[in-house]
Amino acid sequence: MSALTIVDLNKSFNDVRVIKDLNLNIQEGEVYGFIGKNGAGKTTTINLILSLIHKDTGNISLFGNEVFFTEQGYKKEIGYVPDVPVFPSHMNAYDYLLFTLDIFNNIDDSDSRIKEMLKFVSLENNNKRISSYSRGMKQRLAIAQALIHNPSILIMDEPTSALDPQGRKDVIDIMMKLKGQKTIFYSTHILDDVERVCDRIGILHNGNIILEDTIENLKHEFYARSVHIESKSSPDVLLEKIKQTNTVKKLRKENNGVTIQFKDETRSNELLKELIKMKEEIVSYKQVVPTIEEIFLKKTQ
Amino acid sequence: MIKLLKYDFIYLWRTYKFLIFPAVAVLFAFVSPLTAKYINELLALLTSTTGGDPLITLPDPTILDSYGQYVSNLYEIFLIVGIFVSVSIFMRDKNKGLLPLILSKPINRTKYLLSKLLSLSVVILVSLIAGGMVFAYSTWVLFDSIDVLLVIWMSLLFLLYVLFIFAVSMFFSQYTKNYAAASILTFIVYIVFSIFGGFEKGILEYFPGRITSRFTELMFGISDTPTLIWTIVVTLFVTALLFFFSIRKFNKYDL
Repeated sequence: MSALTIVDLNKSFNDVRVIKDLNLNIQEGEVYGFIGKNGAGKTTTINLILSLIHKDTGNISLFGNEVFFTEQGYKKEIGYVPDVPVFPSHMNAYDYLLFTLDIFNNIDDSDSRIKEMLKFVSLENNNKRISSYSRGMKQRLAIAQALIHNPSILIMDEPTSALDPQGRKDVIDIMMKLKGQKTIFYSTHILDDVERVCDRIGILHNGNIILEDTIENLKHEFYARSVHIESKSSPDVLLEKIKQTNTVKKLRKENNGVTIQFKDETRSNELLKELIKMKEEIVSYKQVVPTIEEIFLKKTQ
Repeated sequence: MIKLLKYDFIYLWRTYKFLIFPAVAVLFAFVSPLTAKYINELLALLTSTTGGDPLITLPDPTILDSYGQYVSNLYEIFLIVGIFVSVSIFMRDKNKGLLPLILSKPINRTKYLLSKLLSLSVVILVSLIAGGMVFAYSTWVLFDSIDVLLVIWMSLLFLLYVLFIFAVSMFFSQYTKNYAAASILTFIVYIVFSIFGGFEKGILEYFPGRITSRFTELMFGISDTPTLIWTIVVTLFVTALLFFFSIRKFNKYDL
């Protein structure tokens, strides 16, 4: 079942179109990485899903039901983790989670639920006011308040962007625990994290999705086209010989060899035959596995 | 709404705002009759310490001086404190970045805003009840009489005026982007309406600024019931209009 569907969504600020005919479909139970540069429109999309801002045109549906700005009920299905969570300074974690449960009409057995969530995010036995928390602690509390009412979908807006390495690891570890249990819509520009936790990614560029697939498929697609070759000759000589074969689209000297991108995958055997004919002694022939970061940069530059 | 009220009351309680307003009202309620009763003695004491001739001698104080003193303290000091506190309450979540997390939950924006108004109004009501009781008792002890009905009228008219000022502060909290601008504009409106209080022509006679005049008329027993009712109606109407535009603006507000 589709957890979140966005159809032809548009949003402008002061006549500048920030979201342009955006279409998205996230399946129940998947971890979807919503990646894009700063200013690509990630937070705007999330704000539109949460009705924090008004859309211009388009539709947003959650589990098949269309979302309307004036109706708040659908938010019971959502847990939201902002990039920099701000909490009321006069409350402690327990108070805030109690308030959250109260808002969601879910106060039965609230004490044990709150303690369970505080333990889940490693904030148990902490009675200090939230104003004294570190950024990492606030981010973990943000996750706790997002999960306390047991939502169906977790929307996370760059939850690790403002954290130190330890805080980032803590948040990713929590996400790994949740993987498979919740639908997670994970917006970020930290691409190492995406590879670890996401099933599928969508690259948002200038307000629209320009690439969307599973991490496996994307890597395969880019992986199959690139190889790194090393021979006994110098990289310069090897590069010149490869150019003569007329089988590659792009090539560059790299790490004592040449990294090439084929015009199409079927030309790899042809290249090898040609090089052998030219009496080139090949010592290494490896397919290049691109990182998500490389794919992202390739698509957005 | 109850849940939001709980949230707002926790804030008012833990930041001591729930105690400050009643404390100030009780202080005025206690000091005002004393000041009214012993104003001549105070002036004499002041003159003897400075060594000069008596500057002014006031007629013997009456119970009306006690009422007048309390009302002027409420309208001049209590209300100004109220302006700055109310603006801070209406703007706090917006300015401190609390709104995205709060409104990501199933919270109706209208109820959210009304909850802030209601919690603040309850604090003022509690303050006026506490202040009114202390004032009535102090005045009775010092002047041997008290018109309880007049104290109730005084408190109700003041509450109405406070609501009007809260409506103004809510309005500017929605239509401006920072605390200073909203506070200054609310304060300007307060001053302008205080000046309007001196006008008695046309619709101005029934504007919120005339509430103090209505109370003075009640105090001297020269109250005109239709004028009093119209003043209440016009004030309520202007207040409701300001609330309406504030709520509308907040509902259209993109975070």
